[in-house]
Amino acid sequence: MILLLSSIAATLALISTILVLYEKDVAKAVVLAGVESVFYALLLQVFLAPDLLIAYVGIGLGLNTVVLLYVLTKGERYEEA
Amino acid sequence: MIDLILFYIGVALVFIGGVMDILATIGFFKFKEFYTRLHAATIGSIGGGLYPLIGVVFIVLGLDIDYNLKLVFTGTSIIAAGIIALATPAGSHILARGVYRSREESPSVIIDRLGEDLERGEME
Amino acid sequence: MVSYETLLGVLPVLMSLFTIAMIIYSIRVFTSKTLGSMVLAIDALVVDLVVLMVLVALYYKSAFLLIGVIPLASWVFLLDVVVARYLEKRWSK
Repeated sequence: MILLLSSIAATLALISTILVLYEKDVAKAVVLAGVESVFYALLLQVFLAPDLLIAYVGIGLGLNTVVLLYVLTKGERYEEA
Repeated sequence: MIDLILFYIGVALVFIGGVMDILATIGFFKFKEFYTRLHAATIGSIGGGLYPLIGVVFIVLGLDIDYNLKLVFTGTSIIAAGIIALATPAGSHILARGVYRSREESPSVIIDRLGEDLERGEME
Repeated sequence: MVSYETLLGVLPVLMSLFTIAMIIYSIRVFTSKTLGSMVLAIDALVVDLVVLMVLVALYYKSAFLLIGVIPLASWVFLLDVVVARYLEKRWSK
């Protein structure tokens, strides 16, 4: 049961990563990268690694989203195809 | 006797929270616009987040585990429930303000007085 | 005191409810058109995942696994503030 939950979380993280790759809107891509980190946090909790979990929540979620969205206010939102 | 009552009250609260979460997902697909989806988001965050965390407190109080473990679970659940109850309504409110002012989505209303005032530059 | 095996009997039912909700919220996040709807769905998704993480920690009977719950719950508010600030700055430019 607990392994089924972890497999579902890993699959959703993979789908999120593929969507980040093909996204033309950069702001949506930054937020989707945050979603991927959220699923990794659940996966690391199921695999009993709380030290990696706190690093993922601090860096992958907090710092990444704040810094990239701050940089994006000074640039273009949509990238050219 | 009292621990059995506490345990089943907690299980019922967590179950109600899960059912409300699934109802909120149905609401996210039924509503077609951002401003009406705010109702569904409130059900998903308060009904699906606050009630189960209070239910976990009741479950742990009636369960046969270590005393220190009981204290840690109770404190963390109450603090997380307080953060969710205070921060999620404020967050959705500030997000609605940002989306309205950036013309990301226009609301489907007949008369929009705030939009007219913003066009004339009266409200900053 | 209620024994731990009684909890193990009802815990799969509760966790499956939140797992189904997690899958449907993820589909809503992945198929949303605008940035506002996506962030609104992420709010509900992360609150759902906080409850799921507390239930996983209760399954393992470990207090150390609760360390990620409070930062994840406060990240929801941080994401709302940052995205709203980004949108308002883009309008005023």
